[in-house]
Amino acid sequence: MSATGPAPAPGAPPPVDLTVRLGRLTLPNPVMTASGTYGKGLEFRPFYDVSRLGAVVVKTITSEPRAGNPPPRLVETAGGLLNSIGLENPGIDEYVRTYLPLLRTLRAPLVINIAGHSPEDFAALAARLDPEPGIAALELNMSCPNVAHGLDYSTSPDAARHVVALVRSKTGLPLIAKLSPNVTDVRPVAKAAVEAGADAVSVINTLLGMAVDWRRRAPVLGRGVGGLSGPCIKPVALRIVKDVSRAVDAPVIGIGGIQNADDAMEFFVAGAAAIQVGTANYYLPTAAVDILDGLPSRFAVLGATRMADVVGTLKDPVLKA
Amino acid sequence: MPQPPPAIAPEFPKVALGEILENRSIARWTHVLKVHAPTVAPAIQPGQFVNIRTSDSLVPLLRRPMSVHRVIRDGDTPTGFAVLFDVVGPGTRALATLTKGRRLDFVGPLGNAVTIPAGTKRAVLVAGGVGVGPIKIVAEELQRRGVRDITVCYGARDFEHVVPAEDVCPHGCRLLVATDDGSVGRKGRVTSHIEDLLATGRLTPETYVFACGPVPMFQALQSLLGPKGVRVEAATEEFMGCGFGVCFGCTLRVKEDDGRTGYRLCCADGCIFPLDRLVFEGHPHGAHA
Repeated sequence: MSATGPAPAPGAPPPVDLTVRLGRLTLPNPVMTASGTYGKGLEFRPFYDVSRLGAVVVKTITSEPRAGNPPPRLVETAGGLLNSIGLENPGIDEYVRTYLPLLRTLRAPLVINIAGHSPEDFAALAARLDPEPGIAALELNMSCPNVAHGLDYSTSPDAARHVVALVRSKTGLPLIAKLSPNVTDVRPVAKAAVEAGADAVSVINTLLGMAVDWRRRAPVLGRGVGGLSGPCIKPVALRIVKDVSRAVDAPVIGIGGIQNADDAMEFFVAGAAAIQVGTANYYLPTAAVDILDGLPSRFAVLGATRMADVVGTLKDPVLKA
Repeated sequence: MPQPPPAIAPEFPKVALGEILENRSIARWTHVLKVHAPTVAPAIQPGQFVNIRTSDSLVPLLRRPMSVHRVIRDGDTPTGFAVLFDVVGPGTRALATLTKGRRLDFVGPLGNAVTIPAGTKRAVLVAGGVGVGPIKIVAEELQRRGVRDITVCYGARDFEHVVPAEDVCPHGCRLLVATDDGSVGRKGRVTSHIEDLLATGRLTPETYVFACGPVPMFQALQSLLGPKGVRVEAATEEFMGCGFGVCFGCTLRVKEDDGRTGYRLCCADGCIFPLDRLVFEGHPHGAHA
C-alpha cells in the first residue's frame, strides 16, 4: 500500500509491497501510464492524485516541433481505437522550457519518451535531457507506426542495438526501449536492446492497422494507416510479454489493452514487471489508480505479498497426447 | 501555451455518476436525456459538453461527447443537466435504451464556454440538425443577461427531424425554421434566414452570433457573415478519443494570430472557436470534400 493510498478498511486484504525494480529504476508501484495517452499529466489532476502512480510516461518528444498528421486521426474499431496522431509535440526546446517544469509539479516519477529521426538524433535528445533534474528514466520510442521511418529501430536487432548503445553513451539515466509488435519475432530485437544497455523493454506499441470506408473506397484515417490499441490487442500483447520476458535478462513492461486490475494481473503473471495504462485513460480517466487500488485484493487471492510472488509465474500448458 | 498549474488540483472536470431522470424521444431520431448530477451541474457553463459512457461494453469503446442542452434547476440550485442526441450509431443506440433511474457515467463539464460581450442587445443563434443541442442553454444565458432580441434560426432535413419548439429555445425567442423539403418552415437552408436578417438590418456586426451545426453550414456562414464583419462563435464537433486534451485526436485547422494555419483540439481548445479562425479546406465533412 502506498503511503498516499487510502487507509485499509476493516477486512481489507493485507498490505502488499508493490515496489518495482526496473534495472536501475525503482518505482513505488508497477502502474505507469503509456506514452501518448497522458498528455502533460496535468489533465488528470482533477480526476485523482497523479503522484500515486508508479510513473508517468509522457507523450513522445522530438527534436523539432511536429504539427502531427492531418485529420481524421482517430477511428474507433471493435474493442479498440486506431490512431494516426503523428507525434504532435512542441519540440525539445519548448518542452524543456515550458512543459518540464509543469511535469515536475506532478510529483510522480517522470519517464520522458523520446523519438529520434536517426540514432544520432536519439542520442542528442538524451544528451539534452540528461542534465535536467526530475527525470526518472527515458523511454525510447523505437516503434511509432505513424511517422516515416518510425518503425526502423525496432524491426532489426542491429538497428535497435545501435540506437540504444548510442543513447547509452550520452546519458546515465535508466533507459526503457519501447518496441514494436509489427515484426515476426520481438525477442531478438529485445535482446539486442538489453545487450546494448537498456534497463528494461516495454511491449507492445500499437499494432499497425487500417479502417476502410468502402463507400468512398478510401481509408478512414487521413494518413491511411494507424496504430491499433485498446482491449482488442490484449491477447497479442500478453503473448509477446510472455515470450520477451523469457528471452531477455531484463524486466519487461507490459502494455496493451489494460483497463482494470485483472488485466494488470494477467500481464504480471505472464511476465511483466510493471504495466502501462494507455487507451483506457481516454474512456476510463481514473483507470490507472483504479488498477492500483485493485491490486492488493488480487494479490491476496494468490497469497502474494510482493511483486516477485506474481511476476512471471505463468505455468506452461500441459500438452496431452 | 500551457499555464502554470494551480497548486491545488482543479475540481472539474469530474468523472461522475448521474441518475437518469428522463430519456425521451422528441423527434424520430432525437432524444432528450435528463440527468440528475448535483455535484457537477453548478459548474456547467453554456457551450460546454459532457462525455458520456453509453454502455459498459467494449463496443463502442469510447465515450460520446454531447453539448449540454440546458441546466436543470431546483429553484435557483443547479441539480442536473440535459443533452439532446440523435440515434445514429452503436453508442447512441445504447444510450437510447437507458431508462429512468439508471446510472449514467459521464465526464464533465468539458470544453470552453460562450463569451457573450457585455452590452449585447441582440443575438442570433444558428442551428443545423442536432447542432440544435446547445441553443437553449445559450439562449437562456442571453435572457439571464437581459438580452431580449434573440432570433433562433434552425435548419433540419424534414419534419421528422425537427424537434419541438420548446426543446429548441426558451419562450421569448423568435424561431425561424427551414427544412430541406419545406415540410416545416421555409424550404431551403437555414442560412437563407441569415440572408434575410442581413438584408433587413437585423443582423449587424453588433449582433452576438452563436452557431452549431455541420461543417457545410459553417462554411456558408463564413462566406455570408465574414465579409459583413459579423463575428460568430462556432460550437464545433470532431470525433474525440478522450474529451479532455490528452489524445490529440480531435484536431481542427485554425488560423493562428500570426496568420499561419495550425492544429487545435476541438475538446480542450474548444469546442467553441471564433468562426473566422476555422479552416475547413479539405475537411472530410466539408461542402467540397
